Amino acid sequence: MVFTSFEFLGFFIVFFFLYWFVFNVNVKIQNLFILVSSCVFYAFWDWRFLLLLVGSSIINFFLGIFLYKSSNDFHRRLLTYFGLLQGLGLLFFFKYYNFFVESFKELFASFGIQFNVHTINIILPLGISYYTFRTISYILEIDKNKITPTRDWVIFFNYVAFFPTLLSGPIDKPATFIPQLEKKRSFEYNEGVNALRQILWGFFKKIVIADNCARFTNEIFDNFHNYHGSTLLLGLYLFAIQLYCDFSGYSDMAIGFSRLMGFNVTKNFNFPFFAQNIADFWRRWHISLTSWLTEYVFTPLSIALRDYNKVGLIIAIVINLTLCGIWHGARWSYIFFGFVHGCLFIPLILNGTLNKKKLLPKGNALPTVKQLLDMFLTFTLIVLSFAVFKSNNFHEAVTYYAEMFSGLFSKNAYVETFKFLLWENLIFLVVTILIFILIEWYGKEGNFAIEKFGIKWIKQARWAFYLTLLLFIYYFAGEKQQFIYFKF
Amino acid sequence: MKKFLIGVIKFSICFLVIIHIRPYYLIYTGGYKEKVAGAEIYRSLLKSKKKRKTKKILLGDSGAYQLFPNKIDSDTLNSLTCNQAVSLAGHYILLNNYLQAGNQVDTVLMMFSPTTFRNNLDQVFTYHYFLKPFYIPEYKALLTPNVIKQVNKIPFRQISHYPIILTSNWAPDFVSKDTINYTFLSPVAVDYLIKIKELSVKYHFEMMLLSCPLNENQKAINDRIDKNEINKVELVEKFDNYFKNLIYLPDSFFMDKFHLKHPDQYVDGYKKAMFISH
Repeated sequence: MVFTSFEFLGFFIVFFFLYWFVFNVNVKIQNLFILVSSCVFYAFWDWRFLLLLVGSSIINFFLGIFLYKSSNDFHRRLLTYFGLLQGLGLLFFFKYYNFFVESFKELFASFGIQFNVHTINIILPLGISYYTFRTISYILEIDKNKITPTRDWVIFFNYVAFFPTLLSGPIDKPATFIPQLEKKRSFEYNEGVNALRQILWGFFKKIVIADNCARFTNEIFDNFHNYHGSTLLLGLYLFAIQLYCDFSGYSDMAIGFSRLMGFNVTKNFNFPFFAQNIADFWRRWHISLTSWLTEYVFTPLSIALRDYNKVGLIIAIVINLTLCGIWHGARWSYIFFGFVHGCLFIPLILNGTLNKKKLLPKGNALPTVKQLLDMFLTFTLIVLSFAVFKSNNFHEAVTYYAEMFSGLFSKNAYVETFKFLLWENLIFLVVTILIFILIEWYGKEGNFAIEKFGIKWIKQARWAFYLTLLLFIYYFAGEKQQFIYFKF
Repeated sequence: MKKFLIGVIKFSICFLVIIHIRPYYLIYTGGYKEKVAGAEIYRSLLKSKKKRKTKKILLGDSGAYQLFPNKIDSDTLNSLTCNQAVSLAGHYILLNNYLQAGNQVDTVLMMFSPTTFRNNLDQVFTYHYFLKPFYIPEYKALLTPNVIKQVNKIPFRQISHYPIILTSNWAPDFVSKDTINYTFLSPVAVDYLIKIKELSVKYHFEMMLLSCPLNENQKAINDRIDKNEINKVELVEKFDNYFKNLIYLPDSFFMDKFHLKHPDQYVDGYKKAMFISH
């Protein structure tokens, strides 16, 4: 049951009415109802993995209480490590076990040693990377005495398995989310309308832009040996847009549905394609994950390595981003992706511009030539690194790059790309993307692009704009594609 | 909350009204029949109801459609080809329409690959390609209990003619749970081969069974066909010829599992086989 399905639409409409009109007697009943709904939502995919989610929640709920009660430092360390081990162990088993076994086998085989450990045939439980990071965050925050554990198991389970953010985030911190579960929620008209706007924009990004891009990127990536370098480059640009619209579209929907329930969920994207350098990009892309890693990986590492000045900082950033790459999955290509992104920070660290804020022009103003150039170069760097996300393995990604660069300046390359652009209305998609980027540019100061778009217009004009978006979704929906970040 | 809900309802009504305009317009003009996937079915249906002098008619699946598309009019052959998803039931209705229109027929050429005979209206395509054009009151009397039984298993069949659904390519995800106990002739195919045979007796026409060239990947499946199934329809001689004349070509000759890359190369050969000249 994904957000873009009719099943979810029906599920949420029923949920919304029961939530606000039947179960709003008190906050406890309302929370219990959210929990039951979250379980139903998750069980729609595979009820067996619900047991894993419940098991992990039970362990961490009690662990939090024991950790808080314990005054002995050694016991606290032990409990914290147990919590980390449980969470990371779960991730390791379901997500990374096969990768490590295969890699070790290959490594030993290269020395002529046979390594007799078998891989396991298991499905990756949906959302495991997200809810495990929530439980780890909970244990670490209690360990640092930043929060007190909740004694209400319903609240804790809701923090772990809150259905709008369960499958692909955003990954909320306990300090910001649990208090919202504890207090009574009321429905605000403006919040409701804004939530619907955000959901609408999320749907537009996912269904019109991402799913339509997928048609062309699938064709290019699946048959990349048949295309010239310039078409392969076009495929990469389209894939970057697809990935952004897919994931930020999902995040907008998740945040929007949460807002309709009276919750304020962490923002996940801040117009990353307007970033003017790589550091700026990572401050804007998948914010809830990067801030999680910054707090629990980068900060402790950079403190530990502070005596090594810039070298220490470089090591901390490279490790942090390599881990960010590994978070996406057990593949060398993701490790490479994270490592390369970490390395891209080196020039910024060396010339001391790492923390220099890159401002964008206010309001409707257009960017300066320098800003535009910086944005384009940063975007291109990002785009070039995204092949590893789309390719099936590292070797395929390397071959893609090799064919792209070697064929970029061949004689007929651009003629072929132009023909490809004309093929099956891709030109329509390119125009739609340009309009979409313009709307994002004008809405860049809001939480999402259309938050304030047309806010001063008369109601009829505003409605006409929203109806136009809806009609685009209705008439120009691309072939339904799974959300890319579900597999992470 | 009240203001919010009223706003949402008003907006939804506006949206619903707007999205109904185009489907009603398309139904009013009949334009949807040319716009939806499977437009060739509606074209064949339209052709099947017209009075023509042509005495040879061709029923066929998409392989046959590649060779003899129904867009081309000829004095010697009236092509009513469309695709396999309509099943033998759909092809029977096309033939019946043609005869009911008062046309004289001496030969009915049936160019179907073995896959078409296996269709038991249990595919994901059945909703869009069979229910929408054929599951209408006009044809209900022609549907056998097997067809009704299969149709009743398809989800959302009740709304298949709702304007928005009818004028779009939407169909529900449908996976049949039927156990298949035949290798060649599905129960629906058996029903309609018998019905076509009955028509041949009543209207005195000759039936001829043939297939478009097949992908060699299909050979192993077709070699496992249980020929005893053919006894049910008592068309042993015709099917003997059918199997004898099956042509298998290498996979590289096809753009997918079934469709030829260069169908034009085979048209003349088939014309000779069907004793027609243009």
